[in-house]
Amino acid sequence: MDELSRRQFLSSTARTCFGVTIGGSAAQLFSNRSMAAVDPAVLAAGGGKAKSVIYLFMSGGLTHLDTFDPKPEAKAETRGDSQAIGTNVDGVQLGAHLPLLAQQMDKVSLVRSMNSTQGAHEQGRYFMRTGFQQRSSIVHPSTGAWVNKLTGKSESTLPSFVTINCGNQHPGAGFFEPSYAPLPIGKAEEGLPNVKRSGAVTEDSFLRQLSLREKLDSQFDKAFSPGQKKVRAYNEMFDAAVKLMHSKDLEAFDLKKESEATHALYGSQPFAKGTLLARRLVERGAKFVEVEFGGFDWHDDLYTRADEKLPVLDQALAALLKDLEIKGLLDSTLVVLATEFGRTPKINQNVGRDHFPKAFSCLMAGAGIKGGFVHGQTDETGANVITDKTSATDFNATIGHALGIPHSKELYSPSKRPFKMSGKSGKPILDLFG
Amino acid sequence: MRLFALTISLAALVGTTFSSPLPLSEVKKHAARIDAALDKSLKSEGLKLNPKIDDGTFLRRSYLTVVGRIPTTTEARTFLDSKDSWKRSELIESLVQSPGQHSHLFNFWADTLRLRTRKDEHGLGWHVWIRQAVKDDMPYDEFVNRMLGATGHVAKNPAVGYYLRDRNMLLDNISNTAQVFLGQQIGCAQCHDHPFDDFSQLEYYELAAFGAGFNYRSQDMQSAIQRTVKSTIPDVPKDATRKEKRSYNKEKRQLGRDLRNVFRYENRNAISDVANKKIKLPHDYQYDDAKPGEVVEARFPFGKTPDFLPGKRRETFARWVTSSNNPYFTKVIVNRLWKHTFGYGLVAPVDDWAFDTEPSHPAVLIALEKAMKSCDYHNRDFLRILYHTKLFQATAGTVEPQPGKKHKFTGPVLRRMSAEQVHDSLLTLSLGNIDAVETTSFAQKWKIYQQSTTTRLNSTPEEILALDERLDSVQDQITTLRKKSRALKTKAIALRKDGKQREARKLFASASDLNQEIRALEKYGKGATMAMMMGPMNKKGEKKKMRFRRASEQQSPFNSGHMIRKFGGSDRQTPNASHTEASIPQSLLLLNNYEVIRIIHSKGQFGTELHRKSSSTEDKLNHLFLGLYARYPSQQDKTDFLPLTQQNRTLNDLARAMITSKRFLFIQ
Repeated sequence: MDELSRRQFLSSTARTCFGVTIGGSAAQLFSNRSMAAVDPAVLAAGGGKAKSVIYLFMSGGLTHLDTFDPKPEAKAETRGDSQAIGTNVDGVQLGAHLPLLAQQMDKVSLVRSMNSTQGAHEQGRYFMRTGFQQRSSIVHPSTGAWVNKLTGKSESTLPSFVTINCGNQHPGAGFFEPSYAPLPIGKAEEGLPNVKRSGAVTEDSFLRQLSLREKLDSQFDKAFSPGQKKVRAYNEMFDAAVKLMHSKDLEAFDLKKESEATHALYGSQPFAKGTLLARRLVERGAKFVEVEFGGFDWHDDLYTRADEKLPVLDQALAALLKDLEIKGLLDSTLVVLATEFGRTPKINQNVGRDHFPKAFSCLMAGAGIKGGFVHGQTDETGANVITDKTSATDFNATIGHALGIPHSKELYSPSKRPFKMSGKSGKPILDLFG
Repeated sequence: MRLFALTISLAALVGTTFSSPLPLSEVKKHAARIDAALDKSLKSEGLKLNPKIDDGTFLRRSYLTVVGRIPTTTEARTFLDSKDSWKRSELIESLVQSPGQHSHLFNFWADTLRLRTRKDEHGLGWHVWIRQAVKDDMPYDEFVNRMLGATGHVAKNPAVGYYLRDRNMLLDNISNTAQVFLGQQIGCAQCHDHPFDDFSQLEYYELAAFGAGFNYRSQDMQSAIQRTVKSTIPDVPKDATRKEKRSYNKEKRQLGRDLRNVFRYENRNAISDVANKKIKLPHDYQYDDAKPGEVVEARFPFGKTPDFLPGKRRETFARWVTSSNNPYFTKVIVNRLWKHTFGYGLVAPVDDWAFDTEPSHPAVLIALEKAMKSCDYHNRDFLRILYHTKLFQATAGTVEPQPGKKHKFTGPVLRRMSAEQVHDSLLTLSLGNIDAVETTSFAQKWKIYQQSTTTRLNSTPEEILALDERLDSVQDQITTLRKKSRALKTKAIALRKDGKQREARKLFASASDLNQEIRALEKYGKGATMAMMMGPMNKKGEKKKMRFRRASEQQSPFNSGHMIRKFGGSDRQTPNASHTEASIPQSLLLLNNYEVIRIIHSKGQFGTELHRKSSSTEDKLNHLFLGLYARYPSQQDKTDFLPLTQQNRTLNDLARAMITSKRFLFIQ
């Protein structure tokens, strides 16, 4: 292997693993793929403005009727005790539990016409996250993995795709190479595991350890490095790990760096911390950060649960939008809120609502998305989508459009089957773009 | 003679119940045949086998390949110091009979079969069943036959877990079956004719039709309910009016429905077969060979389909897949075990055989098939044969296999340890030989479940009615407790808003106590007996100890943050989803993880021994090299590293460097 191709190789291996580059200038000099230019037609249609995505997933099936699609005129059996409030946009109402978000409505587009066929949690989440039905013969890549795969290289020294508090069932990279897998963070406040040098090891000792390792492996490398990509990848990942340990961007994972005022703005719950961490990561160039907020499966006692959960969501989401705006990041960051399905129009005997995939709501904001806009509508009880029916695949295509990436490009799974980010027939919701 | 004695004593020690293993002379004969076939094939391409490896490399390769972990310092020393000229064969023979072999082979099956311990009770039952089958070395054809032919309740036949794993996903299950056992990728044909192979969509449906009778319901439950209904509501009097008859029947149906709730959880864990149920082609079927929505009859995609009764469809299917005459069944497993041993398939990928696939060494594959058949499909004997080949003692190849190109085996493939091997090796460093440490809690929990379920399904009508009542009262209690807990929470939230954090916390704590009570009641309602609720898995101590068990002794799959997942352990969603790709979190873990550093610096067997005051500097260096690389340091190593062993700090630096080195992570 000649010198140039060796460097290309090193650069591309390092890049594919969590988007780490071998350092700004060298990576640019030797990158074998320049950032693909966004299709002019996409730009003309308002897309291509997003550089990053913050994807908030409300796990359990968020009730649309008590949040983003309130029905104040409906009968009590549908409305329950829920009330609607006005927002800072004329004619758009939200559930009364979301007063702070109501003041940010001018930044948000609601999608009130989501529709799915998957009424069970695991299958519903999978469908929403991948645009494909769950199978036990293949795992499809999640939206974050598609974004990771389809975007050009990242200038950041941070992982491109991070999940926060997402469980074991997250489809992650799906059938893509493992290097497109998300970096999973459990608790936002604990940050990236093992990234700090142990207290038992001094810097001096650490450096000695690194040089000893090279010495120990010198013969092994001589024998196996030239013919084995895997061995070379290990050298690269190791160097990248050490680099990450010393990266100035690493402080992105340290929430203590935020002021008390900012912490107070987002709130004290784990979801709020996750949202704040997401902002810190995209600020430093992460491409796609998914934060999961669990516990929306309200089969009974809806209002106590709503009192408990919705203020947390309201505060964190409103804070995120405001914060991104102040930092000048809202124009380049797409904020998405999704869930696996909605909940039944009729309040059940336990004062709850059951699973309802036929109609539900999601939202998007930032990165060229219109403010104060509502896409699609349901009937008077929120039971049927009556205009602009939108599927998970349309929703994912819209994320692709906002990023200006080729969401309808076919890529092949190892079993040689073609797949697209926009699923079988997803079309971006162009209405959302101003 | 001595060897023979060793095998017997070991067998007695671990209580293995293998049906007389293949005599060593036979093993060697088969190994020689395989070697001869390989030699010839290599020669025809102007190649030859790589040189024989030294004792240290052999030792490390053997431990990792056979029992899935590195040897301890003592185990390494014993082997390296032995002057016995038969010692390599002896080592293999003893390792093959050790519980470590079961552990390592179990991991292989868990990955291939997508085992999920936590998926309802059938996941647990299947787990325990596979573990036992591996331990008993159940012949492979029987192993597969039992799973593919399984029916009934998992408490009676845990092999039914194979189908329950893919509950209500018959088409996917069939495509996985074809892929895993016959190496046929028919997944595409689920939606359209296969674009590359000769599989048509019709053939796919014809194959799936063997499972068309599936009913994911418990037959035992049905009859228990019928029994109860019959004894509770008297038969309809003959002279009853139409209206009376209707009301009798309505009452019966209502009771039946109520009672089904009693068996909700039993019902989830069973399948039954309905003889006359059929499947139809999809509505958008687009080819000329059949019409959309047409009923499909069961037929094999290759080989002759015999006549069979509709009720015997799955039995017929299982027999066809596992027949030694099936053109793929034997080839696929020998190729898989070849890869398990040498790092890459003669045909790769191992689960993608086209009708015209040519293996990289055709004569070797024929020899392997023959060997497997003469072992009567005992995987353990077959693996012994592979471990006795010259190839197993050849230096690893310097060039890695290229996808799409046939790989020539001049030596085994250099491999990174599997995630489980990394985990178990680190565990060996801190605890020593842990092969025999078994988790009994799975088996115990399973036994309790089996007993209580069997009792429930065989309950008298009176008992069933009592259970129904119990369930209703539990439900009421839960509702009351829920309300209480909510009220507490609402109050707590209000207090928090007022800044009364302490009072709020108190109320939250009482609410969470109530929730615990609710969960216990829910379990009780599900039919848990007290024994189950006090079961071993519920003890915190046991859970804590689980972390110090071999990978095979833990729940499957591992959580996404678990070190095994970081190193590429499977999430158990698709067959053989594990991988050995490098990643940053792996490197970070080896560099900085508290427990890894502890292994070396202080705690655990390896560290304690390393820092023994009475040891000389030579002893320390030997300990490092034996424990981590399974060899003594070379003269050059001594020159380079001996000075570092004089000080504790530099000694630790060296040890940590070794654990992060590729010589540690890779198997040569």
